[in-house]
Amino acid sequence: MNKPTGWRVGVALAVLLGSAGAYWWRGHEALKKSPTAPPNPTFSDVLRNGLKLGLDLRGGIHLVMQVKTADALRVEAQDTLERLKDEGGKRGVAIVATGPADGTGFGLRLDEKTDAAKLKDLVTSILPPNAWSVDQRGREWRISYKDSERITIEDQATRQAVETIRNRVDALGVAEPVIQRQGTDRIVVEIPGVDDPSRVKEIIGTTGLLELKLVDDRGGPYPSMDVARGAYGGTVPEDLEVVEGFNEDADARTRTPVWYVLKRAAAVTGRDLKNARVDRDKFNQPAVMFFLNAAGAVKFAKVTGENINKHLAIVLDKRVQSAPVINSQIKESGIIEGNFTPEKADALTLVLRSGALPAEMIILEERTVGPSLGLDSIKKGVLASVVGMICVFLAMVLYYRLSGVNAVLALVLNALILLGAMAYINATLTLPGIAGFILTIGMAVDSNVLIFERIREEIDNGKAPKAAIDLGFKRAWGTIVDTHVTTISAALFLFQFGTGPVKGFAVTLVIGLLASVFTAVFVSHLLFDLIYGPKERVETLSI
Amino acid sequence: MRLFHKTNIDFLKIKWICISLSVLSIVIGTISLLVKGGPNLGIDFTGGAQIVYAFSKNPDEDQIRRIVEAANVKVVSVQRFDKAEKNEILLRVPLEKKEGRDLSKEVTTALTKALFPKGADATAFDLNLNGGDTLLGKLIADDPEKLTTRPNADPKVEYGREVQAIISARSEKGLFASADEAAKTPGVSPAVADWLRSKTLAGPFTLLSAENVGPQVGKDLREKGMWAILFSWAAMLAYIAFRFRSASFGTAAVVALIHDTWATLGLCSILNLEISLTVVAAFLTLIGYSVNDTVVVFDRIRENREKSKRTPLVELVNHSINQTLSRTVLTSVLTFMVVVVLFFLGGEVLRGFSFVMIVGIIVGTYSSIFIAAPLVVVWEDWKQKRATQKPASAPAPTKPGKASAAKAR
Repeated sequence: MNKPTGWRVGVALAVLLGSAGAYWWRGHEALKKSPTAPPNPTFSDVLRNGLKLGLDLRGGIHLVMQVKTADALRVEAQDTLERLKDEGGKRGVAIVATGPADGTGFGLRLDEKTDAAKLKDLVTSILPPNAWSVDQRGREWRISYKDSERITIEDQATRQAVETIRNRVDALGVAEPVIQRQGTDRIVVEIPGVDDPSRVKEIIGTTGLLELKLVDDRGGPYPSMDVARGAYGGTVPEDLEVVEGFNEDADARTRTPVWYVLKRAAAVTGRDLKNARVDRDKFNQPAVMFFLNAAGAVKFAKVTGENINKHLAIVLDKRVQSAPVINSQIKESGIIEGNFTPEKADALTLVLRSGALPAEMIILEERTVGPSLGLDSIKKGVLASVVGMICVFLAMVLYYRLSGVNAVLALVLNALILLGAMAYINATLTLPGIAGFILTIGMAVDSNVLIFERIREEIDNGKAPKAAIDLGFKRAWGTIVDTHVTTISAALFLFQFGTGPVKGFAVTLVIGLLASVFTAVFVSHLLFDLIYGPKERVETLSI
Repeated sequence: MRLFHKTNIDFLKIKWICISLSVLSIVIGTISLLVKGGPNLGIDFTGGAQIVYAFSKNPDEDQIRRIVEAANVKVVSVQRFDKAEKNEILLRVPLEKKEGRDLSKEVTTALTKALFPKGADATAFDLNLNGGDTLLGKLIADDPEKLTTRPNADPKVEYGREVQAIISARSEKGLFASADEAAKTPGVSPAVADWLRSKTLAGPFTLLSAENVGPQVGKDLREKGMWAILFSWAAMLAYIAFRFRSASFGTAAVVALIHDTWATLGLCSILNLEISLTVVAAFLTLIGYSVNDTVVVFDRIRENREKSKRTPLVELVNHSINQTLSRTVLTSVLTFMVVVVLFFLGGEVLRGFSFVMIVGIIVGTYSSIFIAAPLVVVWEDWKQKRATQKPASAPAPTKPGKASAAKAR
């Protein structure tokens, strides 16, 4: 006792002001960034914006998506196969594919008359040897990806998907979206404040692959897949494919599915797209008008010019949207019809403008919280916190009198440090995080209880009050360290395990417990010293 | 105020009763777990979907089940969520074999068609189902205020403000009873109010939350959760072994810890409580808390042992429990109070979490006093007996705690 208290008061005040300041600063920062902030924020506006709220409190959508990288691999393999066939045609190497390319590679068969050495030359000149491995079995060749190439393509596909999704989410104009790659092929998308889960999923999840393909002369439409195949004697040739579409009658409310037989190679794809906007079709229904870039326009003009009076299928994500007749040469624009609602047409333009995803996406996990549930959770969490704190405070004051007040002050500071630290590191407050907050208060008080009980014991053992205080703090210290290490290390495993909301819980618990070491030991001791220190003799403690 | 002042209760007298009681309750819990084929895992771990709707009128669960099943969506259960007067329904859908089905959309569409045919029309706009984004898009397209005729008006900003007011009003209320109610939101201009009345509808329900967990994610979380619990057990064991340098203390603490986790899990199984992510979080917190309580008693045993090495262990342990009794009880009561408040006021989402904490605190406090400390005595007794039976195996076993004595203080 009677130790210098000046620097200790300084430290305590600095922490107090620092925490409050950090919270205040973050509140202002958040308001500055928020597009919907009121022009003259009031005190309560700043207070409400100090903590970043999790999706479960703010409302919003959390998606874990998987890029079907096998798709990208297949497309790449198919492209390579086409290139090989084209080049082979030029050099007089007649090859046919043994089947469509898949995610591992493709197979081809060499014509009986052609020399295998010629194919070998062709393959070595076109396919980089570090990307493809060639397995030769007589005239049947199997060309497969090497592992390194497969990994590169998968990685590229995922990276490209992240980029595309970012573009699309940015076009939605929402604040603070999170788009994060997770592992090789997963993407986490978190969009706070969005209350239209279906729309968001549609915009993010649509591949948006636009292909313009010529309809074969005998291409249908046919009422079923089997009929379509039957028209070609059971199987369609390798350069054609059967694609589903729907009846073109725009007035019909119910769509009847039909099947077209199309050329497998696309005349123009979405890669050649420059822009897209909402327009009206001939029935005055919403439709999407697209514009090609220079390279695309050249290709398109050539194809349409050569195929006047034939049908051109507009294929979106492997579905024929429409198959109009080419009346004249078209250069750079076209229209996608499809019985769209205005919202759908709007979403599609957004998707087309941001570019196609490199592969199909599947949603592995979806968590949507509506804004009203979030608001309800905040209200309940705050109420529970306040009531819980009051209960603890009352119990402490009842049980320990003046020393209880000391503990209450320490707890209040503890709560303040917790809020300040969370604001400072911009941690996210979630509903379990609120539970962590009030649990922290319940657990942090344990340190005070340990110390106070120890002081009482020392007094029982006949120590003078002032000495009892110092001894109480000293003797309880080891135990306080033990209790904190156990609780905090268990909470750390929550980081490893948890998803967003649970991580929020772990963050609050760990910060709160760390802060409680400071408040219960340092600040509480200081308060005792400030109360009893100046007195010459202390007869009794209020404990 | 002082409770448990200078108590002198002989806790060790009833140690065998307590140990038997614990064994019995764990056996019952284990039987329940075995009969039910493991804990009742929620969709976070099994995969599947869970959709919550709020209705404006008292919903009919059977009718909802029929509507959804007719739409070719399987239903596990339709039950009330939260308090009955809130008219909220929780709908569970089993795991789909393949990912990718937009179940919340399918169910919402089916419910709209059946319960609110007017809203199912392609041109209808349901204020309770659509979000701010869509509302803003529609307002900009229809432009009731004729903003395009005003040169410096940005429709996104102008309508954005009104949309925000409307959506927050809806969040406050839960859902709009009519389009007119939305039109009366403060801050909505007369033109937009008229537009709302004529062009929009307010359906009978709104989507509160939708979760859809695919099989892969469920499996990942299941594994992660199990490892987190096992690792935290191991971490506790390591810490106690390091801190007390004694097999008896370490084993006793870990037995108590596993006892607490297992007994709570057993009770959850008996009561059919669903294990969600937050419930696992509660279990991990409980692991920390349980050891925390035990460590306080152990610290005191060690301290007393250093002071009076002659005192028989039984007396020493009893004395230590008595000395720390008021702390143990007070802390437990305070934390208990907090989680009880959370249980009653924290809402449906946190109910499972707070339940596990409530049970855990009771079991954890009980085990620190009646299981962990007595186990130390049982273990040391057993070791002593073995040592006296085989006196040839000298030197006599060093008393645990001696080694740590110098180190700890």
